[in-house]
Amino acid sequence: MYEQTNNLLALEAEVNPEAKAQLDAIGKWAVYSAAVGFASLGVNILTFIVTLNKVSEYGAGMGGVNLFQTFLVTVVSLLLNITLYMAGTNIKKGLLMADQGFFNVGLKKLNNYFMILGILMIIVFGIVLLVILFGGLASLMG
Amino acid sequence: MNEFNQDQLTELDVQYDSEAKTSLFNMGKWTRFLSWSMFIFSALFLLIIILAATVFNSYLDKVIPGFSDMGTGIYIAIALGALIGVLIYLAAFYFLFNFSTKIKQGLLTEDTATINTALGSLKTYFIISTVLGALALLINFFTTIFN
Repeated sequence: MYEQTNNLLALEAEVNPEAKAQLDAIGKWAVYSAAVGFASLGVNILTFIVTLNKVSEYGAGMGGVNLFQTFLVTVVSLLLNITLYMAGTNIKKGLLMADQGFFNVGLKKLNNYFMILGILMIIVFGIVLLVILFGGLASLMG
Repeated sequence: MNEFNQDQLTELDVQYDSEAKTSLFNMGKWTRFLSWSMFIFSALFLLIIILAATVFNSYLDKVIPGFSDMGTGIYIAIALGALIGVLIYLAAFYFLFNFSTKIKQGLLTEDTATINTALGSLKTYFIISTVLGALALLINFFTTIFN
């Protein structure tokens, strides 16, 4: 089955005009989505600065936790949005210049984007499971 | 001569070569996982909202006697708001799920119509998620400004 799938994927097929139009729109909306993501990141950093000023009376510990959280969100968000932006621009460039290299890079980046989201989802699932496990243990012991 | 030129042009145009097909196929796998995860999380979220609203309602009824009578409207409004939010959110992931099933089917059967339908679903997913993201951005921005 695996070999059969690989053989089918090895065959070349034409990207017809309808598919081109859909892929072009995907590229365009991927770029818009990345732009919204970058803007959201900017607002999050702004919110962090405003919150930091307000909670400064609670001490340095609170600020440290917030700083780490913001740093983590910033890194993940940058990674995701840069990947999405590159996917969108490469797909559009590939279609516009009829360049197979750009087109393939764009699709690979889009695959990477969904892969990163999937890995993040696995991490979230893990955290939720740990919380349930430790919450259950704590309620059993307490 | 014209036919020859047309052949040359087709060769010059982008193709679904093995690399592009592998990327699309793997994308299908990851999007399937993502959409199923989001379906499960949405169901859990709805359950939590319903439970939280019930707990919140009974707590306020103790603090403010007779709250459950006047609070029914608030409870329904919160539940409806959450339901509408989750449904819009789910619609985006329904299109992602549709992409994941159709792209695999289209690539394995080499059916261009199915591949095009899958790409259309992915486009719709991006449109919905971008619009929702922009709305969330505006709300976040104004909340920050007014606070």
